[in-house]
Amino acid sequence: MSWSDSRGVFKFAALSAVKHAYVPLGVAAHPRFEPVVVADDAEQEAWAHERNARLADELGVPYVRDVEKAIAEYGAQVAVISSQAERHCDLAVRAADAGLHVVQDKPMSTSVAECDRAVEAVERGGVRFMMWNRNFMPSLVQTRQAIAGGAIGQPRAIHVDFYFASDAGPPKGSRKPGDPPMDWYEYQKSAHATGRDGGVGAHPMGELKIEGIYPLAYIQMLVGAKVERVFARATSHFHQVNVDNDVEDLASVTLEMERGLVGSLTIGRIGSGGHPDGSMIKIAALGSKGALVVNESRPEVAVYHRGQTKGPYHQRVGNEGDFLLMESFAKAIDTGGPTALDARAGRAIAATVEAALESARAGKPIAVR
Amino acid sequence: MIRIALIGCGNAGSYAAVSSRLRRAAFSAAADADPTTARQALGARVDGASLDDLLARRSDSFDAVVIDTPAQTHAELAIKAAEAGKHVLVEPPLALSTADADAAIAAARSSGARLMAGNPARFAPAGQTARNSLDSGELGEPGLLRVHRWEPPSVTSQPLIEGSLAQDLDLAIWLFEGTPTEVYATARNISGHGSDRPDYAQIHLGFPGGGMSIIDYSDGLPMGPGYHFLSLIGSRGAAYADDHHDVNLVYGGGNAQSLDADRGRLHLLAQLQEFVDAIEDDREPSVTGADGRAAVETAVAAMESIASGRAARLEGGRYELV
Repeated sequence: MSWSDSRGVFKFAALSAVKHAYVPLGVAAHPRFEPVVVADDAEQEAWAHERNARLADELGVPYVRDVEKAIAEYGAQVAVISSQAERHCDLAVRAADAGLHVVQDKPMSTSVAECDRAVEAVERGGVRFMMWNRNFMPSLVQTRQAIAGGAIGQPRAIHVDFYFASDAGPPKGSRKPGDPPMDWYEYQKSAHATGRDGGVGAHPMGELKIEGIYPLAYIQMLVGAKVERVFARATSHFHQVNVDNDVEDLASVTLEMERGLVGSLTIGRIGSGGHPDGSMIKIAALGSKGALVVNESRPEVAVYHRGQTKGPYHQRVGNEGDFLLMESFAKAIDTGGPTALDARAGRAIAATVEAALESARAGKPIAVR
Repeated sequence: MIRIALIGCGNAGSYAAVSSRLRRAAFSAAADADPTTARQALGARVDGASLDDLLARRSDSFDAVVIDTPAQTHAELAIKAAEAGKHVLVEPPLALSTADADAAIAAARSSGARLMAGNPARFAPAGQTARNSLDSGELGEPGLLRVHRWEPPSVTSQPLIEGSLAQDLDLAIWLFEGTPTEVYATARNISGHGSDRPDYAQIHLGFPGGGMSIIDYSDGLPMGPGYHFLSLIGSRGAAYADDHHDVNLVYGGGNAQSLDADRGRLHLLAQLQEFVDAIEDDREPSVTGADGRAAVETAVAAMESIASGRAARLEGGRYELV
């Protein structure tokens, strides 16, 4: 495999970076993707413009308060979208209609109808679309190769634990009587000033919506089966902001898939006390001839010392996932081939999440539409 | 000194390995189709072809029984032993139906015998550590229990849900301190062996207050070591019994081979000792017949969920499909 730019460099526009600066930065880190402009809609609030301008400074490109103007004037071939969640698909549609390929931050949208609009635009425009994902983490690549190589025979059951051991503000039960409920949007804006973590949107989102795409994309990649029906439980177990806004920070989902496959997802933002690595992400799969258990955090280096009271102390080694992800996207553009997580797959995951949340409310299994 | 008869000797070697460390008790008898080897290993003096045989010929040789036979016989043997005035430890499951569990509990109550619904998972390091961490407040409120238990095919071919899964259902009920209010389950044949018999089951439990558990079990692994994983996510911390830390590596050319670390048998000793101490101290054992019945009831709800494709919800003390 070569990282050479023999097939050319793609210019990209970062369309809003109010949520995760690491997505456009991750794209820019690949030698075949060159930032040319950061842009957002003029009517965005001042804090959004400040974040966008900061990214533009970091990338050394202009910041333009007009998305269409930026697309028209800077020659971008790719749009990298990391706006508030509700705006993701709208920006994707506008980019795709202008002929740009799209890399989009999670979640695909807060609404399946919006996902459908993006799918139509991407297919209408004939552009490549990829949801940002973690499928190229070294352990995932190894897992995919093992399964594809027949190590466990035909996959029959697959389970993913996906826990971020970090805090999201004060713990559940910490609000004093008479204090007002925490405002979701204001909290997210203040909590994610560095653009490093979580999800930002005007409407409250739980962990299933914010992070569910990662583990569900693992499952989609590893077994390639559509989720047909789910049964789920969800609760606000850890953080006051989630209690006040009635969104889950802990959930479990039974997945019933095509071809009789079954599986499950457990997901949570379980607080910094929940794991010293900062995350606990695990895949356990059973097949017709065997099984495998993979920890996404491997390889790692563990450091222990006196006075160690908080924060992750296991350092991951060799996280080249983002680089490989963008390598795959460049190849998809070169060849017109599939991306690692295209619009239809993203839409299917959004529908799975929506069904899971409905199941958790109803206490019944729900078909994925 | 409590004299114990082991009924069903397939695991006699494990009991024999811990018997010398058992306080206030000893194995005095063994019953199985071919009990001689087990009797010798246990250091017991008496053997018989069955519990009936022992009761008929040498009932005076034992005070208590440990029932470790195929699950289908557990309740019947527990009832017989209790009716004969013998204290009873039943390996999981206590029974395959709530009616049989009730009958075993009633038999013990009327004879004054102690009935313990055994569950090695409660006494194993993972279960003990999780429970102790909850009790100390380290974990806060339990939120999510995840269990994988994968094994090669069993020689005894236990019923999947109400048999092999009973210990983990009991574990979940114990850790959440209550019966699940929601049960959803699904089962499959994943290995392609054994015709259509399910060799994989996945049970999703909901507990009052938002707690939840997913337990999956398979006896469809190829012959060799099994895999067991437990994690309990609490509001203040989490407990993980993860065999990534329980694997040793062997380098002998080619790829490194993994070797399951020996977890020992102390859990078996701890369970036996609790049974003996409850008898000697004239108290209820820590795992009661009612505990065993709760696991059976949950398993039955899971089976109904599998058959119907619907979730079972606890309403008015009974599970109803919704």
